[in-house]
Amino acid sequence: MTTVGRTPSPAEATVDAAAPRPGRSGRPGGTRVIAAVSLDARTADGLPGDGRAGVVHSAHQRVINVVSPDGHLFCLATSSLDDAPRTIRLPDAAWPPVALHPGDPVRFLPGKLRHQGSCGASTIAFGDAIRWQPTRVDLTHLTVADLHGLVAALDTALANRPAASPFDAASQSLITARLHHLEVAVRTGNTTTVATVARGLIGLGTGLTPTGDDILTGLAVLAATPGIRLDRIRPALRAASYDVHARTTAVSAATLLEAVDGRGRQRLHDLLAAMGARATPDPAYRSRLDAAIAAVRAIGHTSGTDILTGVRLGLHLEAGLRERATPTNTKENR
Amino acid sequence: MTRYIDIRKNTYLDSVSLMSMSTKANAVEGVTQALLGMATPMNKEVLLNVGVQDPAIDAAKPSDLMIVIDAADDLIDAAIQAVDDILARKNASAGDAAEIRYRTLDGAFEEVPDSNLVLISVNGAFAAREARKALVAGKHVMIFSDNVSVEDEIELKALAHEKGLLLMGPDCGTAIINGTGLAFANAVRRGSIGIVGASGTGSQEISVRVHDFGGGISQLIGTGGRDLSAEVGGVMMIDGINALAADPGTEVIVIVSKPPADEVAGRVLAVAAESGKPVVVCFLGSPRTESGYDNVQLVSGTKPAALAAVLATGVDESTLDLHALNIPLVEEVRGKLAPEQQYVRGLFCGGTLCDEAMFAALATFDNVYSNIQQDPAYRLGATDVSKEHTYLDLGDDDFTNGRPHPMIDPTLRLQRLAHEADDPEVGVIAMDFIVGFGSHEDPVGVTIPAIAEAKAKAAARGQHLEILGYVLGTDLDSPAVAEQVAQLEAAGVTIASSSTNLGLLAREFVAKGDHR
Repeated sequence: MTTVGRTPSPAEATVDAAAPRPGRSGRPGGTRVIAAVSLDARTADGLPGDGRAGVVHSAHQRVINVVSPDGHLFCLATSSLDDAPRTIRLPDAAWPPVALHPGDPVRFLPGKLRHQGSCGASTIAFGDAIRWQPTRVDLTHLTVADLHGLVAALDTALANRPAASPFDAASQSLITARLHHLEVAVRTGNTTTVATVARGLIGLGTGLTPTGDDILTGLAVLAATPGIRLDRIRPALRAASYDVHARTTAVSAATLLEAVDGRGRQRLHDLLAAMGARATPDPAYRSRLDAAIAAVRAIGHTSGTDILTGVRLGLHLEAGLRERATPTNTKENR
Repeated sequence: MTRYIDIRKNTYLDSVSLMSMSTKANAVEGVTQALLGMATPMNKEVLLNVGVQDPAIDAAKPSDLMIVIDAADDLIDAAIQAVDDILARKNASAGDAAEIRYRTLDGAFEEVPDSNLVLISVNGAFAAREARKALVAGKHVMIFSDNVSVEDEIELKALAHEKGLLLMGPDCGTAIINGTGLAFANAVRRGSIGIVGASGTGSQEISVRVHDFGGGISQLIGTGGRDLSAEVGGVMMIDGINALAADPGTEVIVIVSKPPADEVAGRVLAVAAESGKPVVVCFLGSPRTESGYDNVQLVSGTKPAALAAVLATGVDESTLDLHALNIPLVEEVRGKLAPEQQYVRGLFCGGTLCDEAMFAALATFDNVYSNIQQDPAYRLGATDVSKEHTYLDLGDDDFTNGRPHPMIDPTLRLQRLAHEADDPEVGVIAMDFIVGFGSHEDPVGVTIPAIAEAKAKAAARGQHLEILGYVLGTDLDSPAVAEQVAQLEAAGVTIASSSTNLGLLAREFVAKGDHR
């Protein structure tokens, strides 16, 4: 048995267990580094940067949903989509960032996300991205006539609904009935019933964001718009959403919770802005309104239509509230 | 009429896809009604209203997709298959970002006709059949599966060669093609160094060392461990060299393998010389020192191979940190070990890493046992206890039969670590930790408790047990090497900076004489 040591040959004399390893940081290459275009400022401020790992929740053609280590769901989206709550937009030319699969880990670092999957790696840097916040308009100035005009415009847009699946057909009678109850409850000021009925709409209908959720999203964002008297139903909508994660899909729950806070896709806020221009002498008003409606309608297969349905319901209810409050016998109008 | 109810767990289809799928499902012959919806409480109520009730639906969660199909009795199977196919295509149409699953190769070829590489990871009994199918369809093939007969390998490689295709494998664990890592691979920068490897972790190690020296990888082609045997004749190694020779993105070629059959080695070296490019050859454990060709350089280990390749691309050696030998560290560890602690126990996930460390030990000691020892007198089986110096390749078939590879499942190694720590004659336990694509997400983290326990056992009998670790990976891997190293250092583990150095350090820590 030989146990005699020997001096390593020069070729082997490269052992240094304590020496720093070259190339450990700062060198470019090897992975795709993608600079985000814009992101939801509120979401960005809440993302951890401590190196913990989140996970890819689901992947679609233009959106990849990710759950942070704290359980917060947000998405990476191509810049061909508009800004939205809980969204980080990446350049369309760089989409998809890498083949991301549900369950893949995503590491959260300061100002960036790092993913490494079986088919490649990417780092998404969002520190310098444009910080988005939904633009708010004040709709105080809209008259009852304006509101009726807007309802009519939406009725026109909603006249041709997308084709319905058998599941849509099966769920439609429940949705119709509950929307009627919701309308009555709002008109009578019964906020407890508003909450109960709204809760019955959550998770109802087809799609990843079920029809009932989309309708409530449109209604909630409108209700949170400055100058809208329908804001009185917001506590009821918030109460209806208390167990939203148990009642609908994770993506839809996140969307609905943001909507209750008055935050929707930018194109929905663009629509509200176009509606706010009703009272201004803008000759391009109608085309701007139609374009804004069309943009919202284009969301998903039925989601856009359902969101518009919620906005229409809200405008209709708002008109009713204003009609009742106006008045002919108030001191101001005498 | 028959009713089929299926719950697809955590299935998220966007509304456009869901509608499209619903439309197509309802158009399938024999289907009278197909209902698809997310399993929210309200949607369960919808189904209840139309008379659909089932315990599976009751148990489903909002993240699950409910599929209810009513179809004629004799057409229900065809209807279900059609809906499954629609779902598979729908997933595929979600593009690169979505997970795509096909039931058969034919189905995948139909949907992705311009695909040009197939990775096969099925039971070895079926791998050859699938590989043949892919080659006939004109696709390059990587066979991750093992237990493919050598006869099948020879036939498949002959077919691939004839068609001008690559047949990587069988038992090929590593490749990087056009920047995409396949199976086990690391995140390395792209560059001008091409690797053809008959050893998976050897190829990984060289790619990582190249990255560490500032270089990059153009392609990493695996051949499977038997390719350089006399039977197979190095068919794919030679085709791989020729492919890299023709690749304008490759300036330097690296070949890595365990010692080939003599006649095959001669042929490989001749082809390497004909490439006209600088070629670095690492036949681990081979006694050869000269290639006989000006452009072909033989080196002794993975790190020298990477260094030679990077230098051949024109990098100035004086700009590199070569990690000079840390003599004080060797002396320090020797000083901590008791006289009876004279043996190394190597517990490896990477076969080539085990080989390299074992060959380093064999250069000094002759009592080196292993499950991959060429000398039968020093060979150990999977159930044998360790003897004197023992280096175990825990990823070898002996250990992986019926269980996942230790790069994925550390259970066996953790058990072995506990046993080795019971032996008072053990001074050093050497371990590799491999991060990167396909590997365990935190190989160090799952081992730390066992390391602490092993050290505590030695301490209880008044000994210092030296645990020597090497993390194979890069700063771009996830988890990054630095994170893993930090965990090991916090647990009192000494870190080697490469596979080559791991073997040398393990040996030198217990070698007595020269440094004392």
